[in-house]
Amino acid sequence: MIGHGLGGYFVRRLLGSAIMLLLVMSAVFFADRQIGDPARMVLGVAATEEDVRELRERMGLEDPLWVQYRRFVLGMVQGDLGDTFRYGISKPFAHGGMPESRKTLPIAAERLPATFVLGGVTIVFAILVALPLGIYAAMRPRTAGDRTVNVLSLAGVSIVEYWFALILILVFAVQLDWLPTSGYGTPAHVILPALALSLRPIGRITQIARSSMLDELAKPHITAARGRGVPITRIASIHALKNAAIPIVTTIGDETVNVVTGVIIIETVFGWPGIGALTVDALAIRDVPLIEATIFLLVLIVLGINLVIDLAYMALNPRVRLR
Amino acid sequence: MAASSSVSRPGTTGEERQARVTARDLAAALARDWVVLLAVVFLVVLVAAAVLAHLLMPYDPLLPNIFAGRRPPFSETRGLDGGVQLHLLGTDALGRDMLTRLVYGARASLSVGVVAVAVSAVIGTTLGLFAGFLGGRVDTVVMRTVDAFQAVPSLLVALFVLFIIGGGLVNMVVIFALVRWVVYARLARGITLSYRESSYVEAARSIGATDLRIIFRHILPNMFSPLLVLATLEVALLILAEAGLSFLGFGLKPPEPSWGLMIARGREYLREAWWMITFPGLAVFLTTLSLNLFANWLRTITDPVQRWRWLI
Amino acid sequence: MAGRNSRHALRAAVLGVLALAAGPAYALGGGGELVIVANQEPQSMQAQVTYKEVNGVGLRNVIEQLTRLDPRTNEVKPMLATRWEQVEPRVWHFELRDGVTFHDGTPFDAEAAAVSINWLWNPENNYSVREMMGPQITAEAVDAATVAVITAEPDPLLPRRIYLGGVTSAKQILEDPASHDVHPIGTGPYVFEEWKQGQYWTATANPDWWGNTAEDPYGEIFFDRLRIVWRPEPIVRAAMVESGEAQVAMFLTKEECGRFDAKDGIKCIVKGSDTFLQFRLDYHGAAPLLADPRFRKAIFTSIDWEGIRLNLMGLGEALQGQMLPSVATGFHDGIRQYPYDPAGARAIVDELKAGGADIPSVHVSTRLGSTPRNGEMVEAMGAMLTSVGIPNTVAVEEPGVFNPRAVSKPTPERAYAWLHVQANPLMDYGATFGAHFSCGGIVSVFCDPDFDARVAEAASMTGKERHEALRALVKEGHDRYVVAPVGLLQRAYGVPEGFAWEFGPDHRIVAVNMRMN
Repeated sequence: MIGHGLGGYFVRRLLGSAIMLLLVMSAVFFADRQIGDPARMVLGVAATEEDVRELRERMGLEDPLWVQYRRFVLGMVQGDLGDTFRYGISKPFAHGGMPESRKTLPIAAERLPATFVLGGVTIVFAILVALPLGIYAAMRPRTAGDRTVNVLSLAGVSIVEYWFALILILVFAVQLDWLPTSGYGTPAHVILPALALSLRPIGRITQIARSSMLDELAKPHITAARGRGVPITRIASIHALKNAAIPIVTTIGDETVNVVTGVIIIETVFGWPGIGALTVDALAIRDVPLIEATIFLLVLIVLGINLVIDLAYMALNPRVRLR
Repeated sequence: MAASSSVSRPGTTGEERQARVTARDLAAALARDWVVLLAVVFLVVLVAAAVLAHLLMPYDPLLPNIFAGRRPPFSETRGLDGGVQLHLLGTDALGRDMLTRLVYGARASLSVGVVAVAVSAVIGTTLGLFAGFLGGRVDTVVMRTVDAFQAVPSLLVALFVLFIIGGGLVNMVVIFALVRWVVYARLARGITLSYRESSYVEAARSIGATDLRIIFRHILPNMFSPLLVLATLEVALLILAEAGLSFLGFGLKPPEPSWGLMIARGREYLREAWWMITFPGLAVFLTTLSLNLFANWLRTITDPVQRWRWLI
Repeated sequence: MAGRNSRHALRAAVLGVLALAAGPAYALGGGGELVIVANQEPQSMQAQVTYKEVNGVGLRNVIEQLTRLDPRTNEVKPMLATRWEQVEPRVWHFELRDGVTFHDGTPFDAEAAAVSINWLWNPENNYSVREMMGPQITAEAVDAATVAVITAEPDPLLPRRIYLGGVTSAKQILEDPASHDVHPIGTGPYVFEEWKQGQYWTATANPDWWGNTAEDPYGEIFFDRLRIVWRPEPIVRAAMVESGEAQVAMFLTKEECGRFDAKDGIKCIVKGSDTFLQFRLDYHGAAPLLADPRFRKAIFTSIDWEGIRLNLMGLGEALQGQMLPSVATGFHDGIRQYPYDPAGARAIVDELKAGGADIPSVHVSTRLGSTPRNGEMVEAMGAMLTSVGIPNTVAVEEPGVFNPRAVSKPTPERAYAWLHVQANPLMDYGATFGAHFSCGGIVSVFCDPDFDARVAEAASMTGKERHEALRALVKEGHDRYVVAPVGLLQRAYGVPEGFAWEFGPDHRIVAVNMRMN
């Protein structure tokens, strides 16, 4: 209908993602109307009922719900999710419109680079640690080494991340004084938060790498290669890894999505100026437009990751294209 | 444990055939793997302690004794009734016995995990089974919904919904059940599809078996092991999720003793009263680790490809 | 190091040239950068947020006020105003300091001061500072160096109250009001540089600060730069001072404070504040029992206030059954903290039940992060209420949930108590009553027109007469079981060894009062 082949698939996927985003944001929009009067929240302390009513009118909260919803969707299409509450509503509002500094989407988007740095370092680090570990374990199943890797990788997915993060700070920043406690700016700052976030992906990727390698190594053509005397490391890297790649890529994708959720807590602990910390701030003061903007971007990132994973599938397995 | 499960066992003989893994086989395999054995023993003890908390624990998990707060492990305090109390794992900020609260906390944390998993597994498996078995429009609708749910990270959804409706045990279980059913639906559908066309289902159908009979006799039994593995992993996931949400203030509500809440509260005392965060942290760690180890083992043992390496 | 020294030399040379060209200039302190780690990011940089230090930590280094409070005596002292006088019951004249300029170069004169004051207290702006306003405040210039501040009703506390209001550039307010939210332009010893949202804000020492040359400055520039960062996790804040990344970590707990004192290289500074922790209970509502003094007595005597203060609050000074300490105008020395009498409370509850009363469930809430250990405190209170047979729920609520409820009038259907901090820099019961006990007060616990009339009468009095009038009202409030003061907050800070800092009960984080020895 829309097109065939790779391009058509890509367009269909993009369209699907856009619909998904619209659905999620619509749900968020209607849910956010359930948590009380934003005008009252903004005005707070000394406001009278008249003030609140006036502000409600200015904010368009007195319009019928469908009018508000239409405005919300139209704004979203234009990349405008409203104005933040954090500065309070003061005169500039009465002067007609808000300056750009109040728009929530730019405020939230400004936090993306920090989150990308942290998430990227975490995932790359996790892959670099987990793949060798998994392959190592798979090549000597049921040995002490395999069992150790197995238990350690499961331990990695079992730990409460922020507890581990606090311990990391106490050990590496306070006791040893090797790394900064928290904050943002230099490469040294990313180490502790990335370490705290990477335990889970390391554990999961190791597990999957191990089991899928194990499956591959048990296949007849590998056993045959072994029989011909091809060294085991070459078998591992060339034959088996290529075939084991699909489940591993799936897991990397899933874990990248999990990291996007994980940053919410870890960024707060480390004072990392990413979108996760902003989400917590926005939730705490119930800054509804800002919450909507952060969720919008988080969902957008996740949809983007899923798209990349799908493309990676196709590169790895051309048969998927025929779907 | 799993009394029996029916899976095909390839590779042992030339032809595929039905074989039954008996409880005896499982126990024997378990006995050979002491790490998993330890994990299973830990889980059994934990569940027993959680169920019997009110019989096992001599102290009140909720009643504060604020003049006896932050006592280290093995401290003795004078209780409100005047008697001497021994605190093996110390006391929390309000002077309540850590061990007592941990055991009662197991109740809350495990019930969040187990109840949410049970509800979501039933919903998800049912939907997945029907989607796979009936195919067509039902399949499309269910799988589109699954795709939609999976496009958004479930913990983010849970966080947002709990923010709107507030935390607490019941809300948390409901939300977890609502966001996690999709993983079971996906699994159940996949298994149903692979068996729907299999020769022995065809055979059953040819001798006049009804759809329901085919589902209950031939498809569901084959789903048991993978579902059990998945459910075990999910319990671990939800226990961790509870801890994370408690950190953000959207978890269980005080005074309910839950591990997540104890860790979240204890983090302020990390330097001066390490036991207040360390023991609940360890409880979560050991429980999720045990669940993961068990699930991992169960998967290997019931996986037709890998099982022969372990079982025989 | 060499680079730094040569930069210093260069700056000294530049300043020297400037000094020749433009009269006296000030050689900066040479104390390097001061890093303060706060518990939360400010929501804005508006002049108004300076009224509460926690809302905009460190902002008083950039923005100054007409008056200030002396750190030692807590008396009102000159800042941007040098003298003031009540020329009419409703009109005060403030004589302004000469030769002060805003950081944008515009002069600080009476016109500018009037614009700034009117902006701050303008009902249309609706800034939260208005909770401390009392009668409506407006201002107008009398002559170039005198500004008149007019109050809707006579307000003898005005010079003290005006200390809450930050003065910022009139040019900015008139020409670019939006930037007022994010870019403070004051007259202070530090010039705002940038606010990197999510990370920090910075300021640099102001060589043209009036205090560099004035005879009565309130401090001396020692640090060259100021950097304010924030970390919600107390452990991380403390760790930053231990690792040398920050010089001041806000709000340690009692135990952390002890640990800092015991460790080499760091120490803890702890001091009583003007902020008290209070428990207040709605007075009116659909549950008629809540208005019954017997039931209220049962609630107030079922909680072990002293036990909570000593064991959970940790850093708290005792308050004698009233909100303010003994220095306050209206302090009543004849009353004591509500006694802990669970048996008596239970007897009352049983008696009420026997009389057919339905005991309502009380919701006790507190705000996430408002003060250390508040979650533990409400949990203890809940358990104590339960043990005398009063059903309850407790909650630690995020600001977005707590604030709207805490700042709105009790609705008839709620049976609600809060544990919250409240600052009263004015140290006068007149202001406290206005907010918490009068019909007009937005957070008022009860409405009693007769009580209001007597508060209004007392508020216009001064001196001993005022003290006596307020004192009687304090006693009456106490007997109504409205507010239980848990304790006067002591705030503790982690700093390096050798760090000197002078501050008053208002705990202003003012860098010119800090130095590193």
